[in-house]
Amino acid sequence: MLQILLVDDEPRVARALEFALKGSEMALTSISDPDLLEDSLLTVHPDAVLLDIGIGAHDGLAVCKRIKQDSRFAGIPVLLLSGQTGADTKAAGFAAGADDFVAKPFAPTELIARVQTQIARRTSA
Amino acid sequence: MLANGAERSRDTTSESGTGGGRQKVVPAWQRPVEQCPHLIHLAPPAVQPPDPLQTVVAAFASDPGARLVFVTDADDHLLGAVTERRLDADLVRQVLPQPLWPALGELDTRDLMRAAQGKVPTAGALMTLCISASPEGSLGDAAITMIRESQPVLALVDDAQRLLGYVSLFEILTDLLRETHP
Repeated sequence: MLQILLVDDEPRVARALEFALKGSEMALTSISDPDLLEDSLLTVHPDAVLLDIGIGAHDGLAVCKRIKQDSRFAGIPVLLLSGQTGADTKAAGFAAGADDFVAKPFAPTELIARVQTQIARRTSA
Repeated sequence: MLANGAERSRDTTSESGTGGGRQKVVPAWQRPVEQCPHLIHLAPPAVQPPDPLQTVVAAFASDPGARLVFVTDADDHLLGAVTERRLDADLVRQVLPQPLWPALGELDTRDLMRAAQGKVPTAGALMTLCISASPEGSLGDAAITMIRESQPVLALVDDAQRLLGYVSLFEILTDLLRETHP
């Protein structure tokens, strides 16, 4: 079972993801506070992280950078979630080290495919 | 028309299977929405009743394909939706000088008058009732509900009536047509 860690302060996104991953080979762990991220990465050992760009007062892009600059976690695929789908937002996400970008709203099919692709890339690297 | 297409779908799929056995295949229109993940839009933008017009417009802009913005309470229970048409009049009042309004003949005059009299409206003031269904419902039921209510999308809610996502009429019809008219 693949472990997916969601970092998002909106419970409805967590509910949507639970719905999306129902019946898949992915298990979801969800946190709403990025300050708990390091502990969660160490305990969950996620195969991928889904990170909302706007997490309350936190800057999701800064959180993404933090993950990618930490050698313990840099190899974990990070997929950014955002309702802001402008080119600038996406470019900023990739500049922060994100591996992919998932626009909200999302289709379960696309989300799962994107996560699986990133995990497969990591595995084959 | 939907029923005829659906029957055709059942005829062409009901004898599939292996080893000479007859395997019953559920026609596309009877398939539960939740079993069609490619048709579901999860975590759409939503606003709350006190949110101002600017927030509604920003939510609208982040998913214009939905042609509406869902309104929920703080616990994500679905309350209604702000439709594209309701937004038109208020946006016109915000961005265009009044002498230009008559040029926009297709807008409802009553909406324009209401918009002109009010302050910057809230999502609650713009909200209308919104149709919803469980993801366990069938594609056919979802499509029929949207056609009957003249709505382009149908909200999907969980058992507690909390907003999960939505499905679009034309995406469902496209999918059904693909199966009935391959």
